[in-house]
Amino acid sequence: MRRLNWPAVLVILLALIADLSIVADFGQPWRPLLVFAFLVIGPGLPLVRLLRLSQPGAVLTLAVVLSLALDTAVAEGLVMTRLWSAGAALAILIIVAVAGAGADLLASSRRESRGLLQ
Amino acid sequence: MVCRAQEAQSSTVIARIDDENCQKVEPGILGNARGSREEDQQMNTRDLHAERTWWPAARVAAVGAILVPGLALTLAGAAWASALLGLDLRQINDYGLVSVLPPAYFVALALVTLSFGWALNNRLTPSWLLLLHIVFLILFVYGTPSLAYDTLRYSWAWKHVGIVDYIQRWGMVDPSITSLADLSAYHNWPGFFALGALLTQAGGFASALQFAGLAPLFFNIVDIGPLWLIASALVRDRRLRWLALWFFFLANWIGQDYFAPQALGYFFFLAVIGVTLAWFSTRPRAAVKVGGRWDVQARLEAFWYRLLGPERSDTALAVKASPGQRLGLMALIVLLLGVVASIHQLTPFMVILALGALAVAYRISARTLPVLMAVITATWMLYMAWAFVGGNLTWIIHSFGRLDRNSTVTDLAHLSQGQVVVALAARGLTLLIGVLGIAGAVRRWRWGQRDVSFMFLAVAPLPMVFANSYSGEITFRIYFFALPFVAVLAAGLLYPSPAASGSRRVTLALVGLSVLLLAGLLLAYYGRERMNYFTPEEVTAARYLYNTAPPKSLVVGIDYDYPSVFTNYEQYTHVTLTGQSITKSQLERLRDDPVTAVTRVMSDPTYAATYLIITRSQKAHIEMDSILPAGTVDQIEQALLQSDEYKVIYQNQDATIMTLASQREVAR
Repeated sequence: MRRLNWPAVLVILLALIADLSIVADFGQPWRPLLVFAFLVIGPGLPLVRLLRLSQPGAVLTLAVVLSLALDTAVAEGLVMTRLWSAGAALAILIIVAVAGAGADLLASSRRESRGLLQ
Repeated sequence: MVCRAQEAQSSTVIARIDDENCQKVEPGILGNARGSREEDQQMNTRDLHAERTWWPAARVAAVGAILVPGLALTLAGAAWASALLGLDLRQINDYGLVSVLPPAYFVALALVTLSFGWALNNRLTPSWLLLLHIVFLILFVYGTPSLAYDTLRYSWAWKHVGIVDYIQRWGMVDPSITSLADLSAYHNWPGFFALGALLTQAGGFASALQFAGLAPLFFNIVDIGPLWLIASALVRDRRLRWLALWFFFLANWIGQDYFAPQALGYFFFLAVIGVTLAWFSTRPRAAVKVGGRWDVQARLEAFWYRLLGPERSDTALAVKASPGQRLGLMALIVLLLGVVASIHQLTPFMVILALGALAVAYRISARTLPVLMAVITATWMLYMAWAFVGGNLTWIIHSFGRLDRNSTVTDLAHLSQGQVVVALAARGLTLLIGVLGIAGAVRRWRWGQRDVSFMFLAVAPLPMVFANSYSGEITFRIYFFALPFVAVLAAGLLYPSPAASGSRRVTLALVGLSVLLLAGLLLAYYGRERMNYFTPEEVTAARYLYNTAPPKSLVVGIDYDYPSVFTNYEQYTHVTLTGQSITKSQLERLRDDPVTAVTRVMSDPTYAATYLIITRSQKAHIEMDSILPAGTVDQIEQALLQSDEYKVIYQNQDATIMTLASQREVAR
């Protein structure tokens, strides 16, 4: 039986719920909690997991580092190019997170397949 | 016996127990740190014995290792929570927040300190519990103002909210902005503020004021990760790793953790150094073939090898990574370098110096990183931030090399009695952690552990004192950027090697040093709270001011220290009557004839309206720094109130807003 790649699934869920919290306006404290949680961990975690580092502490640390760096880069890029929109910034970050999670799911699936074949 | 039982619970890859004192040592970042082959064989032999010695008594000890600190932390948390409830923040005096903290607060700190000392030397304590002690320390020290204050702390945090507010309204920054020249740098390095705008709008807030107060708690918590990465990269003894973090948070009194770009820049700085040390570390090899006169790298390597000889270390250096992993990690570093260069003026130079020190000392394999960072920084300054750099080039050049001006420290003669104690506590704390760092480095060296990377990183920020005064703050910033590495060296004083025992004496020394550092930290970090704390009444007055004043108004503060600039800031001109540009004779005129002196400023016809705001926090700052004699601002306020030339448009117990009596009612 295949193992579920929980971190990738959680990031996708977090991205969707964060987006939903804005669309449906969950209000405080849920909306900021969900959005901040996504922004702090979501964009970076799947990309860091692609590196296949074995120490969970390092993965978590780099996930937060990369997430905040991507958040800053995307927000700053939109401001500097005078295309600022919080919705657009969040949409870009959600795309990055979901694409990263998809790649992570694919990579883990391939690894498992190779493992099963061997 | 207990030790072996513990060993049996851990795989030899995940955790190892040192032979002599049963101290748990942990592997490198990727969990594949390599000890000697003999060591591995010994481990395996002991594993075979381990299962036979797993007695119930050992199980009880393992449970106790969780229960005792768990109970201590629970009690500490309860004591701290109860302490927060009874705070009378209006009574804060010149000694800072400590002047109003109840005994329960100190009980909480004592409990967490004692518990940490006990837990750290207990080989059965799980690492997550040590982490929890660090989190509690952060919560108690750095989280107290965040959670106890009902308003945003520190006047500069309000100004930073103003930049976020600007981006929210305009959707851009204006690098050439002339409103409030002090803040123009933020338009040239806008990354943090853009992130602030994203958090504000995506979070559904009207203003960053609604969450900015939690910034110190957030930044200190997230800093744990990179700090752990730094310590873990080169140190395998987990006691030293955790004590390094503990010392860092006991000595980080500089207060750059508030809602500010430097707090985010610092986090990224730590991450860059952590990743570089963990995955790109190297050390000079014995046999180096110098390829020619210009083979600088080989010469450098040979030089360091000749100087230091074959190095021993308690860790496996440079955790091996696959080419793909190294590529990914290098991409992360390059992204971080770019982000750092675009969010803060000073941090990029600290990154260049730190990476440069590692490269010169032949401690990293990626020795072109400092050059890359220098190119990125120069590019940003020349193309994206030229509006600021070009406009300030004269004083930047003039301050270069002016050691006498750049390294100034506060003149104690100009401070109030309480502030003298605070300043001395800060200096004492700085000196203590510095001495501990030097002593730790020497002791580790004598034990054969050569922390060359940390030594170089600890002194790397020092050249900045030749470059710039950074508005008189450069010495503080140098300390700030050296601290993570000094803390590791300081921790080495108590744990010079994994083979060094964690005796009761070590525990006592740890607790004693922690108490000394804490005493300094509480005075130094909380020492300016009389002026950093704003009462709700002051905030209400400030909101009234900005809701009332029409665009193109002049806002005059008796001092800069009040909640200001947080909304529509570019619509106003802000000046102060006691700022740095004010001469001594102007101050004397203000004191001797306040009505005339203030009216001269207020009656400028080029403004739509003029407002004077006087608050409790402004008075506190003026008294604490002896800008004017105690009580002078009250006298100025009384003189203006009694004058026919002024009328009060708003007043509460902590703030007064006045306009010229001749000023017509102006609608906003």
